[in-house]
Amino acid sequence: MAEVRLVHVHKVFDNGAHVLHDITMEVGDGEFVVLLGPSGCGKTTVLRLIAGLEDITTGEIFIGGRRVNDVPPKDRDIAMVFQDYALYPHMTVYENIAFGLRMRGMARAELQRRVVDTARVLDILDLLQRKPHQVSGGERQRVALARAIVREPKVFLLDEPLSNLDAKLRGHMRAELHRLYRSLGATIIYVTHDQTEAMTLGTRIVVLRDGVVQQVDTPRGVYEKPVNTFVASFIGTPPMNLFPACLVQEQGEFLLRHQDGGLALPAAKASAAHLRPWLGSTVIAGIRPEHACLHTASPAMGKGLPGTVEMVERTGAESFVAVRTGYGSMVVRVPPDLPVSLSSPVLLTFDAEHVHLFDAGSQMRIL
Amino acid sequence: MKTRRLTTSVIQMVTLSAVTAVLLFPLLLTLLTSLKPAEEIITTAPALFPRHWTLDNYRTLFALRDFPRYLWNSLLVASLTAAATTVIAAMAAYALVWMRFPGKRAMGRSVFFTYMFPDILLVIPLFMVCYELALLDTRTALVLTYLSLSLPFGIWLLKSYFESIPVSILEAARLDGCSEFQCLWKVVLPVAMPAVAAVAVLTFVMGWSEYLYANTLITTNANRTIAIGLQTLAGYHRTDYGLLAAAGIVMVAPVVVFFLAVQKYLVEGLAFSTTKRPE
Repeated sequence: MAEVRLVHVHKVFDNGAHVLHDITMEVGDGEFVVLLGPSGCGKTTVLRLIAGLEDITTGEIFIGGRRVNDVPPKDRDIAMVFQDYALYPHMTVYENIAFGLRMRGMARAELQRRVVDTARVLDILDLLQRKPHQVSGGERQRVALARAIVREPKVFLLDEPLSNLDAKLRGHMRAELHRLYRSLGATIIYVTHDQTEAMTLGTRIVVLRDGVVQQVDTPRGVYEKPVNTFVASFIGTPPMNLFPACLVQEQGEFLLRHQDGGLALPAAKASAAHLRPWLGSTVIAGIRPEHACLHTASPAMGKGLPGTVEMVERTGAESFVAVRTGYGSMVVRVPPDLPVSLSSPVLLTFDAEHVHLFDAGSQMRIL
Repeated sequence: MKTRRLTTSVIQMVTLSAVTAVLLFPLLLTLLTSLKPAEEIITTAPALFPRHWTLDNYRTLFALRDFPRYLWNSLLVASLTAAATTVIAAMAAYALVWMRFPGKRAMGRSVFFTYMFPDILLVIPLFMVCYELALLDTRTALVLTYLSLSLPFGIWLLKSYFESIPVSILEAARLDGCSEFQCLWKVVLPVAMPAVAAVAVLTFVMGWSEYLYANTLITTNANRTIAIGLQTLAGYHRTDYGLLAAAGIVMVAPVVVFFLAVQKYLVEGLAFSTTKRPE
């Protein structure tokens, strides 16, 4: 196992597309780091650079302390699981798993032992004599994983390995991956655009956007303290509600004033010295659906943001209500049994303890 | 619904059988002629089937001093052409599809340049080239000439097929420790077997039956291929049609055998699923 370090890495493709900008990140030994971002953000390119399948334009990559910029893929001691699995169609499952070892000249007995052991771990022992097109999608996924694991590489690179599976299988494989990670203690770099995968699997998450690293943090850190509005709205399902508000100070208390009222920030959270530069100016307030509250009984009963119910999504254990307000649509999590009717007037209040503030210009986190 | 499907099948079968019959009739006629004695061939009352079946024409044919030599020459030239075309075209197509080098696109297109000229136009220049290289009247000259004709086609066919192979398979092979050559040999060629087989068959047939260049570049009996040798059986005053028919059948036989041998690859795997299927 080894750590992976990217230092000021840029990637410009032949057609002039500058897809990665100054990527600097470190993946510690035995860490499970998830590269997360929307389609086209460059996360797969990062993986391909680490694998050596693409040349880096400028910058340096280190694997286990060794600079690998000019080291061919086969000598980097990494294994990759591709999104489409990339199994060799003309070989049996056994040959697919054994191929990498055979290419490295491993003795037959040892090779056979390792293939069988790995197949046992992944529960594909009875598939060894079949061809890839004779096994199901989930099984093919296991074969691809087995092919990576059997080599005992320093680093595993996984490129959206679960994206071709149906929802149920994906959940199952996610748990399986987590179990594998714990038993192998491997260094894993995992690319996905699925935040559930990122949040459940990663020890740390690297959020990418347009080839720029936005935030590197634990899943909890990314969720609770997003560094900017992009991360805030990208992480979380449904995403964080964002709306403009004016930051003012009245009687020593910080208030977020919006067109329909105000919200006092708790004294413990808001420090005067920290917030002073934004006093009197518009900031972007953010609140997660679970930290907003929906009041249906009497809209006139208190202060809050008025709106009308636009849509109700019932997922079973909870419901999400989309409310049309003066700031656009906001989503609130409510108990599943809360009676809500479409187009009815409601009032939203927010848990001030969990309000996030972002600079309106730079979109960076203030609080 | 079922009746309609049955009707469609019947119509398809009848049509295909008719077309096949028309295409195969000359071959059948040649085969039957080769099995007739001479007096049944040139006759006022010709019949399709021989009244007296005989293998005499074949005995006479193989008793001719030069005939086995023609066969051997053809076999040699056609096999070498097919093997060299397959190997060179596979490497060229691999490079054109997956490797990066300057002038790649221009090179890919210039491969087709030879197709811009009709064969007959190239006869004299090729003759001159072979003359200068002292290759006239050698089987090497034929193989080299056929390569210049078969390679563009072979490269084009393999390139199109290679392009349909997901690049991730190759990348997986590279990560598994394959060199570029091993990628081609161990992964690409087995996956592209249908296309490889097609190139091999078609270039073999071309080399086996080519007449124009063989007739121009080969001048002595020792180096003649069967396509030219067949012509020597046609006499100036009298032609032994039984012998000619037997020679024709002998000439077609290896092609049929070769085709049957690789037919499996041609058909199988065309619908080869390489990576994933939609679940």
